[in-house]
Amino acid sequence: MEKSLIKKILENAKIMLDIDAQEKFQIINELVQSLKIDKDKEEMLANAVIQREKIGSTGIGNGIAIPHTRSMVVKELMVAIGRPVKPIDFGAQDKKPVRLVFLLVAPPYASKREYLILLGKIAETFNEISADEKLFSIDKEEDFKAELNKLFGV
Amino acid sequence: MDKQLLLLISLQELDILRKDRIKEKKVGFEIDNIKKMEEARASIVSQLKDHIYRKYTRLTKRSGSAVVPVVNNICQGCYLLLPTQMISPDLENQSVITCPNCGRILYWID
Repeated sequence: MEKSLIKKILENAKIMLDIDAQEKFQIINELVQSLKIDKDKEEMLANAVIQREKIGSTGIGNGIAIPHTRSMVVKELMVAIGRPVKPIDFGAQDKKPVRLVFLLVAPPYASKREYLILLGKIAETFNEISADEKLFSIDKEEDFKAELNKLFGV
Repeated sequence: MDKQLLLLISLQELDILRKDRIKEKKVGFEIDNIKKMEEARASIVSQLKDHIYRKYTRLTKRSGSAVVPVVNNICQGCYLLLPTQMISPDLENQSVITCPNCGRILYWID
């Protein structure tokens, strides 16, 4: 159940390889834009994610960050994954700059379960993700997704 | 969009975040800057009209969530189909409107 759920979520995720962003709020904005929601909602959503980021870094360590929030402006769980050209400082506890960013946004009520399952799954797999050099050199979206599926065991 | 409604949505999102802290901690995230969160909340509250904030507080206590989305003209708080006089793109998100059945504040998501 959990595996099929994660597989489905990853299938629908937006992937942005080689984002030219200099700092964390910039990459968050770029990833929010990739979700292709209405412009006014886009701003509200980016603000909500940034607000969350300001009260505690989502840089989980080893070069992985998972900015996330639950927001009224989305109707379902949405995921965007970005790989910056140059690692970005996310204020992570281990001080390592971030090489891969998973943006997770979900509505406050529905999908609560999926949201926490995915958040937990990425958090528990981040060491493997970080160590997988292939993930950082792949240049095709479908290969990238296949590699992630492999890491998540789905 | 109405500014008061926008503030209410931000306030509710911040309150959800406060509630999520424990669950987030379980999956490895630490929300360490509580002071900053309280400051952000106070800033939003200071911009809200008193009667609207009172309504928000009352609804949150009573119903768990004060602001709910409207999807396909249905209030997602009580699942009532809104009356036709409330269904107009000119009215949507232009002021703080409440559901005639459950009293929750409505946000048109589409």
